Amino acid sequence: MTRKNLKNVFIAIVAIYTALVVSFYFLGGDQIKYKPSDNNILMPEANTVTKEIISGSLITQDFENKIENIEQLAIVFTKFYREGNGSVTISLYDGKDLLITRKIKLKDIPEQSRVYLTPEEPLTGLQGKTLTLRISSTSGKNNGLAVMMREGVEGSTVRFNSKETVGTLCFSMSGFDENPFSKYYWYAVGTIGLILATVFYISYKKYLRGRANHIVAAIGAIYRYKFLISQLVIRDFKSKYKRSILGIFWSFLNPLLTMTVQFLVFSTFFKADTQNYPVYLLSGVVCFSFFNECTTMCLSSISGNARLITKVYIPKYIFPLARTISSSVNLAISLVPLTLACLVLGVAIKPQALLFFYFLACLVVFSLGIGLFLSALMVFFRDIQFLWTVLTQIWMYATPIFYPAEIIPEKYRFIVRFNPLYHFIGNARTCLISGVSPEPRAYIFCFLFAAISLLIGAYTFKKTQDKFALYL
Amino acid sequence: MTKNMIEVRNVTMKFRMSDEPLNSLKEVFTTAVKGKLKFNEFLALDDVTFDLEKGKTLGLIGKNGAGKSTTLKLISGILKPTSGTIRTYGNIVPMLELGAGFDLELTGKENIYLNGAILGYSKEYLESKYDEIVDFAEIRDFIDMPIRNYSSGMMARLAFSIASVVQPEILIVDEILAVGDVAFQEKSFNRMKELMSGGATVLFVSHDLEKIEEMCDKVIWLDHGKVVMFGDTDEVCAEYKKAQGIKG
Repeated sequence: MTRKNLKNVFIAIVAIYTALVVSFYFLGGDQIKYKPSDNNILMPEANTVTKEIISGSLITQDFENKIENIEQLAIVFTKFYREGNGSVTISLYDGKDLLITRKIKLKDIPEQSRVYLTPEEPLTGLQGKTLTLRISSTSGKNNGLAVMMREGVEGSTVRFNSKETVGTLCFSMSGFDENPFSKYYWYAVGTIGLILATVFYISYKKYLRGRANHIVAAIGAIYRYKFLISQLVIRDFKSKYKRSILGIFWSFLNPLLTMTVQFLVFSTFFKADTQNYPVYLLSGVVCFSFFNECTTMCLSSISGNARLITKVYIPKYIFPLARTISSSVNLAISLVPLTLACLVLGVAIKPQALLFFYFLACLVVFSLGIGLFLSALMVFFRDIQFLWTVLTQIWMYATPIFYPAEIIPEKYRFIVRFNPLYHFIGNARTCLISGVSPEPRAYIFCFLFAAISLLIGAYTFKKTQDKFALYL
Repeated sequence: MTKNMIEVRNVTMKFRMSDEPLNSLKEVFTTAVKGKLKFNEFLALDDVTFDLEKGKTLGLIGKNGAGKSTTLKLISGILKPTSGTIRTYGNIVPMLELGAGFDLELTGKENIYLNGAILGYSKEYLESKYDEIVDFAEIRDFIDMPIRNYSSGMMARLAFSIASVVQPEILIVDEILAVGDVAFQEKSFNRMKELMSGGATVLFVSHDLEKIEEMCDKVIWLDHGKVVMFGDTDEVCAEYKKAQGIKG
């Protein structure tokens, strides 16, 4: 590695970082800038109804709004299953200013379900204000129209003409708030970029003065061993497909066949609940197969190369790393059938689908971490290879791959939230199938899962690697 | 003063050997619960110190289990010493077991690149030396054939050619001079001599005292992990022969 190489590597990393954060800002779009408001008013459960609304009745309720951008208001009426004629007017006021109003015919009002008021543009600038919901009618008598309400909610009053009742009407209001994340996005990525550049600059200066430092050593190692790694990866591929007629074509076929089998088995159960089920399934299969293959191959990477490790000095992390890279190449190949499936099955591929690769990258790093850990463990406890087969089975069923995440009962959902694969695969699917970015939190979670896994794996590996040669 | 290429200081190597082989989680667990998990410590090297100057050839002699191979592995970096330090200056080519990285499914050509990469050669270097390797091993007709079809002699020749094509600064050799037929043995022996005379610093383990006397400048005599004697070849070999004679 020369001085010029090092400089180029540093500049390339900073340039790639800049390109990524800028493109991320634009790809992320509104999902980065806004998030669903935490102050949405939820629909209360009704325990009574108001008096019948007749011509001249006026129902009002004041309430405090905390939503920054109001998108929708919903209110629930009952007609006691009568047809009814006339109409009702629902309005939302800010003091004396009318914000939004809707006049709806009684026959269009669904029985005990939501009537929506949706402004053309989200209502802004109302945060912290007291808004008034007004309902008036021209319905005459005996139409049986009333608003569902919940009596006895402290701090809230419903006025029917002039009579006041403690309680609240059954209405809900939802919107979105600006995400604080986006306000600080440029500061945050700018700071990280500056730190990165400073660290590189310092280590470059150190290198020029001939002092050792970790970053230069790591880049030097990559330079020195990249030929070896490429040879090991080529070896993996060649010996994997040697003597098979279809050869590398299996990397295309395998995920497609797995998907087909699972599709035939599970489609009747889950098809209805899921948008574009075959693509949902295939993306899950591709991701999980990668995880399974990568960790299983890493597991035996040290013990399988025992002869080499005890006879020649090579940094031992090269072996799990090379296996992870060959699995990643396999993953890249299996993205071809995935893309084809998207095109054939009518998933509109949007630019946001590029964000898919962020989660794939997290998955790869996560798998490398697990792989490092397992390969080290395998040297000392050979039982782990059998244990891991069972564990990956459990892991597969615990991850929504062939079933939608929604079928997990709400009270067990928290278990899934601790499953990193659920996050990687789930978010990757959101990008690919729905074409929108997940919320910013998802990026941070996935990054953390990957980083923690890599740290634990690398630490275990480093601590134990000197003993490998003794136990192999 | 000539530069030291290898510095070994107070190196001790302990192996932990359990009484029974404990290779699985269950076994370790059950023995640990029974309170029987004990390890015998085996001292493979005990406070070994020596230096080797640039261009010199050092022979290691001693009985089986004296610690010769352990010393070579420590200097190659394959093992880490329990205590003490080892410093080496320059690139090391260990010829401990030839063809350790061969993959039987791959062709001879693919194995040249794979094994070369394992030994730390660069791609450009291998490309420039490719013909030399193939010709030296005398396997040009079989080079595109998977090496599982090779005879053991062909494989050994190929392995030797790859390992010896480089001009190393430190060469570590463990009894590998006899590969192939008589003609190739002679060829490889000459290549070894070439490498050694080319300025390489050599560590050499052999049970063949004649070869040691022929090739080495200095000799270390190890016994049960301890240095019995370290000095010029003639002196050490004479003492060694004497000791063997008395015991034998």
